[in-house]
Amino acid sequence: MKMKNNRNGIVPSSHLCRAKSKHGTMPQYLIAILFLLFSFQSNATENTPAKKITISGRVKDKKNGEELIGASVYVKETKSGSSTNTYGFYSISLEPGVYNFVYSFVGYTSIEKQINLKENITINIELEEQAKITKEVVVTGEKQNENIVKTEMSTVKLDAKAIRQIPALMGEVDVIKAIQLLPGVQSTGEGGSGYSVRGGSTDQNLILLDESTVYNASHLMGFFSVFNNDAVKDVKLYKGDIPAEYGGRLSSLLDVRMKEGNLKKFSGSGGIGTISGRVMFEGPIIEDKCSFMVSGRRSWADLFLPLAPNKEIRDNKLFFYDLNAKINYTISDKDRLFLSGYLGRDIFQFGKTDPFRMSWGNQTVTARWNHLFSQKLFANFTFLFSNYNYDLGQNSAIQGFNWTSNLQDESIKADFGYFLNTSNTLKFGLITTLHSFDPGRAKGSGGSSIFNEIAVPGSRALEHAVFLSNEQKVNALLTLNYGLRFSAFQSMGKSTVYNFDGLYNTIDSTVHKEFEFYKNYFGLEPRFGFNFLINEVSSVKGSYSRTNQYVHLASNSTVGTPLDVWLPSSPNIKPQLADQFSLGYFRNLKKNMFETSVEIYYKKMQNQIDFKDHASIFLNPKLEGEIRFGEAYSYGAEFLIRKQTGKLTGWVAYTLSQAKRKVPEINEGRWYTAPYDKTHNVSIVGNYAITDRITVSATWVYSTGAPITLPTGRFTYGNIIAPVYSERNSYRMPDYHRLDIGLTYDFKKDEGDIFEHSLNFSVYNAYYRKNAYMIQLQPNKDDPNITEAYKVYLFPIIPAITYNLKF
Amino acid sequence: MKSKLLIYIFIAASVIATSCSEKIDLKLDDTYTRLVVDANITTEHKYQTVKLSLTSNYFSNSASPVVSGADVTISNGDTTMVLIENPSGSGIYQTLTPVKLPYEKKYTLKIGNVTIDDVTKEYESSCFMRQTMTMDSITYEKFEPSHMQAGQYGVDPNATYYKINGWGQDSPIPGDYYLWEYYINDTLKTDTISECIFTDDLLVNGNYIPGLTMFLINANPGDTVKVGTYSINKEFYDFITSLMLETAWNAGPMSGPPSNIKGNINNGALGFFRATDVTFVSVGIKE
Repeated sequence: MKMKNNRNGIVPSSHLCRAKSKHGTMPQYLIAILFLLFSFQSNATENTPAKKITISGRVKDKKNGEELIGASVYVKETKSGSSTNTYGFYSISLEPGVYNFVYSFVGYTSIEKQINLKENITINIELEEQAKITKEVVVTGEKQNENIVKTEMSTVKLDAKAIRQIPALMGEVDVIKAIQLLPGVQSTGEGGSGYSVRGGSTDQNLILLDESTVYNASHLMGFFSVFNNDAVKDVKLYKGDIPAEYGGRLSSLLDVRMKEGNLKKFSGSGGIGTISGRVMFEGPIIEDKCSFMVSGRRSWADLFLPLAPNKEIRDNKLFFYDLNAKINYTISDKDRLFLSGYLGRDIFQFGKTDPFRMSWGNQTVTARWNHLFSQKLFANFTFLFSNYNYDLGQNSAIQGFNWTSNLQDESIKADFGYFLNTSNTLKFGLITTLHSFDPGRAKGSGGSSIFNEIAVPGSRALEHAVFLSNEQKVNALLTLNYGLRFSAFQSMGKSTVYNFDGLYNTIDSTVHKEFEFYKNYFGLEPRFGFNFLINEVSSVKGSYSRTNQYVHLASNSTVGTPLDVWLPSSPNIKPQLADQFSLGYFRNLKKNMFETSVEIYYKKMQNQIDFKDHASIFLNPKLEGEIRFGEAYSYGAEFLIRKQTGKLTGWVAYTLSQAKRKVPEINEGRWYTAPYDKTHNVSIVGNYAITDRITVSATWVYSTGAPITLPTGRFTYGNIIAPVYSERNSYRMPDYHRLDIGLTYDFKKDEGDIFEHSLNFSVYNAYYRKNAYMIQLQPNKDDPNITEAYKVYLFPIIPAITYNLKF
Repeated sequence: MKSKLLIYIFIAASVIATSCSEKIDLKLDDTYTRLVVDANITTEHKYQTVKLSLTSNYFSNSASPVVSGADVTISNGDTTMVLIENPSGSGIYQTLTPVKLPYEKKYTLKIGNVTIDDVTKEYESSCFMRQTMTMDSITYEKFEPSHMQAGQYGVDPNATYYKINGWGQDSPIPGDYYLWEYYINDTLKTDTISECIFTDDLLVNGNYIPGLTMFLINANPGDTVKVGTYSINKEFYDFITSLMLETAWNAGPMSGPPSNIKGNINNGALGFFRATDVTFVSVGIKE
């Protein structure tokens, strides 16, 4: 995107004028903001008359050629530097001269290079992993005080190694369970894969796998996530301060990147555990140019239905599988191609004659061309595909039925990174997505079926966004990060829309033709952040962001079920909006050995979705009439202490927070505690390397009990005693706490051994706390007038053992 | 059909949920007292009955207190009936003699002279009694309950079990709601609401229903099985669904959030005033 430059600042090129008339409603102040952005830029270049030299290149792992994300490139003479982007690429512009560059990534041996910059140059670096002891680090892979210096706040980065250290439920290492241990993130239920970030609901989290949206990240009702840790390279969670490049969800972004594949040699790993078996192969197709990675995982059904008292249940099927694959091809120094995909499915079947079956799963595909236009202009052109569907039914001659639901996204995206100069890094781009919703379609199966077809009207929509952001180093102390995302959502036929009156009764319906655009929503989403460096070891950061969300999850249960349905915005459903403010103080102690931070946030959300009491969600064509809209707010303080180097590593996180909602018709229109509000949340994670082959780890979590609605009265109707409730969510479940411990033993690897073996033992819920999963109120068997309360708890103490192999 | 779906999901949830549970002590607040109405008038020739009681605190652990001495009347525009408490002090109000009521009329229930917490209030409710459908017939089929059903329902190995299948034509006009009950030898077997079958006709609208299994019963050769088809309206269907969701169908975290069951009586009273038409079909079990 070229802009004309003259002494007075930027003159609008004809591009801008055309843009205005095309969009029609592009507001005047948007043009003004763009003016301002570019005049900053032109002023910056005005003050530095000397010609700059650009040094760029990639930083990779010496052993397998994987690019290192967030590796640090530090220039000693200017006391500043940069870090590599998601593709391991860095670009720095300096005046000609001799400089000492330090390339580093925690866990790897740094390399220092003296370079005489006379002309533009490309330097690619390969870093070598350090010896075992310092390998067990909970790492972000950045320079020691990177957390102080970057403007980024409200984000946490974990890599696959770190995630593997955390003892897990039934020995299944899990990305999502790991992020639930971070401050500001609450899990929604024992064992569930749903999570709530800073008081937002579970549908407000954007989960991307190589930039494709994953709609349901759960296997087996949420006890395991869809991410196979063997295939994962890097995971980054944004709790707020979501970059302008991303949008579409209010509360968080979980950016999961798959491994590229070992470019140097064929290798693999695998393991067998209590619940599942997994295997991963990677290697070069053309050495140093083209590589692949393939991994798969499958669970053993019978071991999951453990102490079922009922023999019949053991005949049922309950298993999941998933497959990840990626090919990475470096055409030249300037061009790379990537193709990655994911396929996973859960299968559940029960009953012998006329069995009832249910299955669901995601598929994603990402195809990307990465191109360097110059040393300063880095671009990606991507095609993304994502599909989430489920089906359930029963085969039977007369009463057989089949119910399917399908959601599909196809997107094209172009994003650019422009390393303008040492003070300014621009990012801009655009993305368009075609959403196709088929929320539910049920019909009788079998020839003589008595059932008609019911279908919730399907629809399609186009979601667009254009973004521009800049990270600007104003001076040695102050860095700003500002940007704007302009998003739009267009409802498109063909579809049927029901029209409701003020009391949510259906009046009639409107049928829209194919490709008819019948409703448009627009959003202007500014993002702003600053970092004020107090000194080398401490800084103050703040951020503000406005986000829009156009697709919503129709879920009426506390823990997500796979039958939850995603709904688009429409004439009856407005987009959700959120404004989030956060402020934090970051301080490193003992020569950057400990990172500490305290962040406070306030989030205000509008057009929040909730359902009317006893809503009819399943297969209801008039589902939009069951929805009620309200507002919500949340605020809190997050404290974190983290140690990343040495024999003992880990973190302590504490969150103090509150979240409330108000929806007309619910709780008689009064404010009520949001379902994910947990006042206190503590997570302590620790890993200790006893020797270079034995590591122990432990996790302790504590949280205030989840809010629950309990009855205060009762009445008799017929033979049934029914409850009477007062306020929604005015009671709490008992507090939740749990200790997990693990031990990893690496077998000795001799010279000439191809394989590395290790054993991992873990115990989930080590002191057998019977944490309440739900509270049941039941009439006494002998005297039905007496009601008794029971707590149902899911997981007793669960030991697990996993055998791992690597070559 | 939707009810069936909900049942399946509930079973799936209960597989997980019934694994471990432990009794706990729970302290709940008290609540203010409300009137509860359980009224069910039909086109049968019988004593039409209304039961009145009060709400109590959740752990009161005793039978609901009854409401005595109230003035209860039911009218349909043509006639008004006064119901008398019988037996005295029981909270059960009946017509003086057995009455047969006409369908396709709107019935209004009025309750006066009810004193709660020193305040005397009046209550009113209306329900339109729609004509019901008539089934063609019911047939029966002997069957062996599976292990799972045995575990769930407490099956007696010496008893004989039958499937009762229904045959009939559903009216093509959408929006019919029905409820079915069955009697063996004139004794009502589905005396708890959770045993009845009720549905909206969304899925089967206008079709002929050929032998859909309705009930699994425990009966003996020589018994006469009678199935009643009751017409209900959307309000009652929603009431029953809410009632079930709050009690027998509560699937814990997989259910929606709990909330109060809305009836059709004003002034904050709970319960429901139901006016239905019923038709019966019978079959005799031979073997």
